[in-house]
Amino acid sequence: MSAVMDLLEPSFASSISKVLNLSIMGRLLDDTSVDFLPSLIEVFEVESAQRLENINSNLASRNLSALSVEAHSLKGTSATFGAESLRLLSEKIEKGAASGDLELVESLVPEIPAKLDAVLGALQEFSTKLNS
Amino acid sequence: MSEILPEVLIVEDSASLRRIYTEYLKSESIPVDVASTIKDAKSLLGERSYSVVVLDIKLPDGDGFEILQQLTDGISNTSVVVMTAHGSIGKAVDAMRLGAYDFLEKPFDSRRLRSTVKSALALARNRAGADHSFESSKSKQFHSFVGASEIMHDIYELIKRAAPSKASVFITGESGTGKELCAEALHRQSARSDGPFIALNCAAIPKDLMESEIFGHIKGAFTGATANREGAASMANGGTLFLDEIGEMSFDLQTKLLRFVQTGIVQKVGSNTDEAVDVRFICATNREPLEEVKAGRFREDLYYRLHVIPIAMPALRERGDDIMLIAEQFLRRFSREETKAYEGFSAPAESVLRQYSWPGNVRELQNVVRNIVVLHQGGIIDVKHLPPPLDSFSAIVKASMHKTLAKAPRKRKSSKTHSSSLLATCLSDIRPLAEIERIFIENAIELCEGNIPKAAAMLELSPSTLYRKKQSWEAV
Repeated sequence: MSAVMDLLEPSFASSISKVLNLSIMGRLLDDTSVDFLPSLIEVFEVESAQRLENINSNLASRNLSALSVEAHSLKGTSATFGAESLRLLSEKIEKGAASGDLELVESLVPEIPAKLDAVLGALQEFSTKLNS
Repeated sequence: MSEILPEVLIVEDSASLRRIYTEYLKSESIPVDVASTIKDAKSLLGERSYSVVVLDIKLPDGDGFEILQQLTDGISNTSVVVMTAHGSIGKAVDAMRLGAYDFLEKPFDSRRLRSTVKSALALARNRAGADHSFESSKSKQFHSFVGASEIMHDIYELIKRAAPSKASVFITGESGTGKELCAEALHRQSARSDGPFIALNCAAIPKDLMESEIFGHIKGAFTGATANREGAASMANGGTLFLDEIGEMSFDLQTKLLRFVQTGIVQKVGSNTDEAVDVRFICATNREPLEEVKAGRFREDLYYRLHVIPIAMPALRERGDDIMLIAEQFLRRFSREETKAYEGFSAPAESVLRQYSWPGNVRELQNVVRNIVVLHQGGIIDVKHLPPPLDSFSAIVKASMHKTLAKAPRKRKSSKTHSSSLLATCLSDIRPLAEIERIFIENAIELCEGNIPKAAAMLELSPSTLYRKKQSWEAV
C-alpha cells in the first residue's frame, strides 16, 4: 500500500474503497503528488460532464458508434482513478453500443450520473482529507 | 532565452489522462505537447516533428492508426508508442506490425510510461544521428509533402509565409506535382485550419453544372433541382475554397466568380438573395495562366484578383534526391498495404528512376511503385521489374552508360595511362582502404563525365551511397 494511503484512517479508507480502488489511487498519488489531486479532479469533473452530455446526445440521435467511443474514453479515465464500478458500466455501454444493442445502451446510460457523482464525491472527500 | 521545444507529443482524448501523463513525464524533465484529436495531432505534426508520439488508438474523430501509418513511413524518425485499452492486445499487435515502437496497456503507472518514453526517445535520437536536430528531421517532410530538396524547401517557406494571410494564392505546375497538397498545406498552416477546406475540380464537373457546384441552387432553379443545395462557396465559409484546374472554367462563369472574389457575396442559382461568405481563395492550373489571358480564354481582371501570391510547383525531375525519397516512401507504404516484403531498389533501377523525366510527376512515380509492388513478390527491385515506359527507358540508360565508358578512353588519351598509374600507385604502397576507395570512385565519376548515377550503376552501388561519400569527402 502507498505511503499516502497509510495516513488515512481505517474507517475513512473503508468507506472510500467502495467507490475507488485505493491501491490504484495510492499509486496515482505516489506517481504525482497530493497537491496535484485538486486540479486533476477539476479537469475530470469538467471532462466527465461533457462526456455525459455527449453520450446523451449520441443516444438521442441514435449515433451508437460515436457513443461507443465516448463510453470507451469514460472507461479509460475511470480505470485510471480505480473507479471500478463506473469502469464496468462504461465497458458494458461501450460494448453494447459497438454491437448496436440500443435497448441495452438505453437501459444502462441512465445509471451513469449516479455512479459519476459517487466517484466525484469520493475524489473530493479524498482530496480534502489528504490536503487538510 | 530560447525555449526548448517538446520532443514528445501525447495524443489522448481524455483531458484527465493528458494531465496525468504530462505530470508523469514532468518529473523526468520531459516536456510534452498534447493533442486531443487526430486533427489536432496532424496539425502539430504538420508544423514540426517529434521524437516520440504517445498515441491513443481510439480517438473521437477516427482511428489513431492513421497517424501511426503516417509516422512509420520510414521518412520520419519518430518513435510511436501506442496506448490501448485493457484487453485490446489485438490492437497492440496490429500497431507493432505497423511499426509502433511499443505499446502501453491502460491503466499504466508512471514508471512504465517514463521508461517506455525514455527508450523511445533514445531510439528516435539514435535514428536521427548524433547531431540530431528538429530541423534535420523536419526537412524531409512538410504537411503531406515528402521532399528535402532545396527547391521544395523554398516552397515550404513560401507556404509558411503565405498561409497567415487571406491573400489569394495561384498555384501552377504540371499534373501530379502536388498542387492540391500545396493548397491543403496552406489551409492547415493558416488560422482558418479549424474551418472547412473545400476543393472543387473545375475539370471534373460538366460545364453546365459548375455554377451550381460553386454557388449552390434553390429548389426548382432548373430541371432536376428538386431541393435547395449548398454550393462549395457557402460550404467553405470560414475556411478555404480551392478551385483546381481553374483554367477549365467557362468565360461566363469566370465573370460570376470575379464578382464573388471582389465582394464576398454569393447568390445561389435561381435565387435573388445575397449571401455573404468569408473564404480564402486558392486556385490552381496546369496551364500557363498568363498565356491563357493573352489567348482570351481567361479573364485578365480575374487573373489579377487571384494571382496575388503565385506558387510554382516544381516538376519531379527538378527535385533531385527527392525522387528516391518519395519512391522509397511509396515502396514502404504499398509493401505494407499489400503485405509484401521489399528491401529497396537495386543501383541500376535507382539510376533509371533518377534519370527518367517523369512527365506525370509524383503521381506517375506513385503508380510505377504501386505497379511493381502489386505485380512482383518482394525482395530487391531491379530494372527488369520496372513497368512501361521505364522498361524501354532503362535500355536507353544502359546503352548510354556503355557508350560513355567506350568513349571515355578515346576522349581522354591519357586515361589508360592515368588508370594504370592509379593502379600502380595503389599496388606499390600500402594505403588506407578508404583512400583507395576514394581514388577509384573519383576515377569512375571522371570516366562517366561527372554523371554520378551512371558511375554508381557501373560500380554497382546506389547513387545515394556515392552522393554520401562525396559529401563526406567534401566535409573533410
